[in-house]
Amino acid sequence: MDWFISQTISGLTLGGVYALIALGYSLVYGVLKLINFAHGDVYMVGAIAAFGTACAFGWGQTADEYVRSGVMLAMLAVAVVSCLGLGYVIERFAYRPLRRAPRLNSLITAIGVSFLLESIFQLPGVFGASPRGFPQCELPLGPIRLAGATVRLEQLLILGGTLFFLLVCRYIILHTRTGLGIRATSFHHDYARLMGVNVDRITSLTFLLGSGLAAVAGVFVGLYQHQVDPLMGVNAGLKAFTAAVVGGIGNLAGAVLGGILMGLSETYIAGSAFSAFRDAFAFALLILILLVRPGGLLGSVAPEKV
Amino acid sequence: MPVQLRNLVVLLAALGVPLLAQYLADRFALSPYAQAVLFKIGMNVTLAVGLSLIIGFAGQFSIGHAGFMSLGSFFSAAFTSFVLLHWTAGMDPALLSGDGFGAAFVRGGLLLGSMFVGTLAAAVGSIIVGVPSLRLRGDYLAIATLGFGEIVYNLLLIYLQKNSGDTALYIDYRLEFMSRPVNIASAWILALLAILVVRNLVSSTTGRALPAIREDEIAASAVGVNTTRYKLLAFVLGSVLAGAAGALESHQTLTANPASYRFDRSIELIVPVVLGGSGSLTGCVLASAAFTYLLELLRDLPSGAQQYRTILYAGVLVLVMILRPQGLMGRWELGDLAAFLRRRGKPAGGRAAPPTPIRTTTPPDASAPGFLSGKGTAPPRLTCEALTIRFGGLTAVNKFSLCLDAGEIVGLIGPNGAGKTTCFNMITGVYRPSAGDIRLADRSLVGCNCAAINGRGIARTFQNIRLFGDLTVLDNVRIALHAHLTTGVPAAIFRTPRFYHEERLARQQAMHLLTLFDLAGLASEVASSLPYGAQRRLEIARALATAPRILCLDEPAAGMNPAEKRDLMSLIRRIRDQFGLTILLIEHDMRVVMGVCERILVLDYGETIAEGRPEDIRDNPRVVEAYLGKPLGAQPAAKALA
Amino acid sequence: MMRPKQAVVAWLLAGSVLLSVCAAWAAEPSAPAAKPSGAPIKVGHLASLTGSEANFGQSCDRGVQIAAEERNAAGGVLGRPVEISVVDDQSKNQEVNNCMMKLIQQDQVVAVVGEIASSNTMAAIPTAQKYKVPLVTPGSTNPEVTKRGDYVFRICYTDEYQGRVIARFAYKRLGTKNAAVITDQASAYSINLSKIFTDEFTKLGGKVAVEVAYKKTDSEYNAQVNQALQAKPDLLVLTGYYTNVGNIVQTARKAGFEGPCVGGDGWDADTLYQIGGKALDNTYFTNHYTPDDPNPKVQAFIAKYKSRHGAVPDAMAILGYDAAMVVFDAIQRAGATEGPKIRDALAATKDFVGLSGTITIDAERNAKKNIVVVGIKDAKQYLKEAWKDE
Repeated sequence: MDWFISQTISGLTLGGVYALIALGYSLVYGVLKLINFAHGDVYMVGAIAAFGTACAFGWGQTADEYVRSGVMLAMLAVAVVSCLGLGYVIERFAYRPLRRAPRLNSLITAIGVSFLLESIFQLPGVFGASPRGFPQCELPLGPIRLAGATVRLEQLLILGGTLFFLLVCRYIILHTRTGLGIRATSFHHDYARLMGVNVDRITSLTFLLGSGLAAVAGVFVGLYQHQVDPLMGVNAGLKAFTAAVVGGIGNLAGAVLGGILMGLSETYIAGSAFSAFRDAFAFALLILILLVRPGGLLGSVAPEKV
Repeated sequence: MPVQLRNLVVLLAALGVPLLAQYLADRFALSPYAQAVLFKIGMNVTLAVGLSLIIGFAGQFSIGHAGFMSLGSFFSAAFTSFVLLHWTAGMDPALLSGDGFGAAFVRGGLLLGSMFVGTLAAAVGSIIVGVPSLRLRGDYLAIATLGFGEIVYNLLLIYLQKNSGDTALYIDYRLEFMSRPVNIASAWILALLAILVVRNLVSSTTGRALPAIREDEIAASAVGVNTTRYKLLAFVLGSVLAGAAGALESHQTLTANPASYRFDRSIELIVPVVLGGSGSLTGCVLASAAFTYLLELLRDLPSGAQQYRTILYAGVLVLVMILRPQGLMGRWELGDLAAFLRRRGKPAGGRAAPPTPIRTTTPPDASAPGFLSGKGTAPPRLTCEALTIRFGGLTAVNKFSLCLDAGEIVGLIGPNGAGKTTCFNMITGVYRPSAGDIRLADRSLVGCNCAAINGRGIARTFQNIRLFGDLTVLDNVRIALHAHLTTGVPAAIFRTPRFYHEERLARQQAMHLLTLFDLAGLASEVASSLPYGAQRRLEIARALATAPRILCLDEPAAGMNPAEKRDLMSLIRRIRDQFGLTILLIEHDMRVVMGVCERILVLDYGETIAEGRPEDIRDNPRVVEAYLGKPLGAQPAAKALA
Repeated sequence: MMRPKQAVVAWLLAGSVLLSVCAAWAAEPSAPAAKPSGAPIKVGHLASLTGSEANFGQSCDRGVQIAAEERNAAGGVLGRPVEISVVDDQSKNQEVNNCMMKLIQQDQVVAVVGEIASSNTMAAIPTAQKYKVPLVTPGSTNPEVTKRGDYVFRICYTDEYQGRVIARFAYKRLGTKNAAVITDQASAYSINLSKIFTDEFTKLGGKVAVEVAYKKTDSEYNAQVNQALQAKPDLLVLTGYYTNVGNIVQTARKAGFEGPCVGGDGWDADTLYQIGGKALDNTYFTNHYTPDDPNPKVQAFIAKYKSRHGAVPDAMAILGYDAAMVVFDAIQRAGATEGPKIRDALAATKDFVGLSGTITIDAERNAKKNIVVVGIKDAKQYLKEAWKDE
């Protein structure tokens, strides 16, 4: 039982991070029908930006709770702002010129941007090839015992934070004009344009929203895992993308569901005697779900208008 | 037979030139490093050609393609390592590692055996992934291959960990001689054969089904192309080539390391295909050769600058994609370039004959030979019984019944959204009805796919024209002849005499149909560049090329001017008579409907509200109401319809 | 349709950009030769300067470069200067073959130092054997490496030895009996080390309670750590690389584990202490050298390295230096630059004093090396024990 509780909490935490990243994939796919392979690297940039901020403010060296909280907010702010900028630049200069080109081109450009970000950050002058430790900070409470299981306070904080940002995202999508624009644009570019939606602006905003969520995920992982490196986006991106597809790409609730599912199943398997089969299982699950429900768990395959 | 002779020469050259190159390289002591680079170029060209078939020609994304290389590499290495070691244990060492021709021959044979095992594994893998995911349209193959690549990596890793405590499979060092036939000759023979096979395939009537699928999958299946089968063909062929290349690579280093074939490798494979011009064989060959060479040159960078190599690579990638989205070569092939240069040679009369004016009459002899000669018998009867379809809660068509007898022209009319096109879609297999039955000559069509229904003799056009936009007018029609060919893919690849015969026949037939529709002068134009009316006619010509017994026309007059409409009416009657067809027609233009139809059905909100002769329909109050709303008072609004 | 002119222009553009850049870099003059005269003797260095193992390759290359400088300052080899040709394999298996070809054929090196990762060294062996160019690996600890060809040498200990030492240290010095082994399943090094540890530890009378796997690309280990701690072990064995180990130890400490952790030379990197911090107290790993070594040669090297690169050299830098020096020494003793002669001289290496200890090449072309057990306290390493076989 305690095994189950602690693994479930770990799985939910990991799943929350996946969900935050998966939302970015799903949002962009919805609007542009583009698999944005550079998204995982935006997440990496978010984590590194938070790392830079934490180092600059000497986080972890001070014991003052107020200073700590302030620095933590600053980390979030810097990470989000830098990812928003990056997201905008990528969309404006790498994807927008290709709006009318075959989709394969945007795919290749996305991969090019991804390589570019990874190799730039691997340069010794920029960040370097090796991982670096995130400055550490003792939280006031140690591990919490819950029905015999150990739960870390960070895990609960991250779970709460993830939930908060998911709700913010939901609010934006469902209750703002921008969200309406995003939904309209996902439905059909030309129809949206006819209804007076500025599709270019909405596409940029979608990228900004996705990048912002990725930045949040980056900060959380930095805090949680105490380690950042320029290639951290590759694996996380691949998993989050898988999660988005499992949930139904283009469907936002699906992205969250897929992320949580992915996190839980990975954690249960990694924490069992079959830990070696973790990734094989995750991808087999992906293919299986696509076979049974081609549109993903919550997605639907709209019949093509003929 | 000069063509056959030429093909034989090409084949012999594909085998001979690499051997000669290898001989010359050895004879003049070309540096083994240069030889290794040439080998790598050959291998990468093979990979690019295979992937180009999948991505460029069939329009399917395989973004886990390195997984098939991994299968080829691992299984061939395992075969060599475990099986060959036993078989060669008793053999004379001089026979295996000697310098003579005999030894080289034996080694080559053994390598071929291992490569066969590797390609077999890749083929099986690609069928496992392809069969379920290629049934669906869209990005499923991309995602499934991505997942498959990771599964292959993980399973091989687990296997290796359990069995050898290592992360790679090493070929037993006693079999070192197996790396010797991995040279320019073997890589280039593989590459040239791959180019030859793919070129032969995509330049045949059978193989043109692939670009048709890329351009419009629904239209392709509506003209009788079994899309799943062709997508699978391209996918398996491309994967087999990847498997062969993987086998070569593992024998070069005597190592099969699954970690070499992960997502990043798959991307490396795609890059030259897209950069060279997706859909251009010449482009992908040139791009992969050039890229391999340039990346090799970059090894000379001093160690401090090595880190900039990947940045440069990624930067060039993004820039080329933005500056030249269609790839360096676009869809140009070597042949096109030669033709272009020839045309430049004689400046004035170069381009294809000017388009003939649209409104000409007097069709040429319609009793066409070959595929289009009709089946001689009267068209079978088509009946729809209580056909119903629901999308979610919406009943789009409710209890639609229809009986089409031989030689009739029947109109299907109704206000927008009445469900007319949905009926077409059910009859032609695009949608599966929720209830009811469709019977053609007493056999049910429900559950058959578009291609099978087309094969049974029902052809259609589309409301929003669905031509193969990037292909020529001639190709659009030729693809539709596809189902009538008796020669298949093997004949296309091996270029049998029968293939040439049928290819000539197909061209003749297509030109014949084009002449019938005043399109012959535009035969070499790209379909999407045609004026609207001509596109409509081309679509009908394409539908007729499938030699249907029943033709369904979806708003053929939409967008035509009155003169064109008049021509269309006579054309519809003419093709009915010439080809002995039954015609089902959806049309909004009442002049056309009343002019050509012998019987009319009226749909409104999915219900059949009237059926009868044109003059009866004209006066039917329910029809008038459906179109114009309830009449004010008793005054009939019939005139509005006349 | 596209105009072919446009295509040609685009091709030329793409080609010329790449060409001009590499031409510009290639044109940079290489390091000028010192006092020794004559054509330089070239020694290759096959290294992963970029990619996932870039940190190993870069460290090793720094060591190799310093070795070449010192040797040239001391009169070179056979009166001629030595020159290092480095080639980057991007940490990719499939690149190794052409890298070796380039070194041997184009740069005409007489011997090659490299690689660190055993799988890449393995891929380099067929070429080295074929052209009879000795290959000296500074850091591939996989026992299989030197069994695959008589031109392959190793100047570090093997995993077999290292794994046994870890097991004995844990059982005898730490007194632990119930181990949880956490393995990086994507690394042959880690798999092998775990296996050898498990065998030896069980033989000594200890018990491996649980085995758990992760991959080096992971960044999250809660599930694995939870699973490992489930068995209530008194020892965690982490046979992977420092990139993950710091993090795993952190996770374990947060989950309440207070016992000792042990591992192999893959732990060695400054980053480890930065990532792991205080959590690394009471952890130990086996290594090739320790910066605490009072040997003046070692201290001189550390000083030089520090002044140049601003960090304490890790074991890979030391091993790179030693490997290059062993090769220079062999060429000098062979008195010739032919591969087979250098090979014979390498095989005859005896009591060569390097930074990582005294190197004697045995009949299996391995070096019998001493091993040190390093302990960590307050994010700093100290010499726990210079291991002597018992």
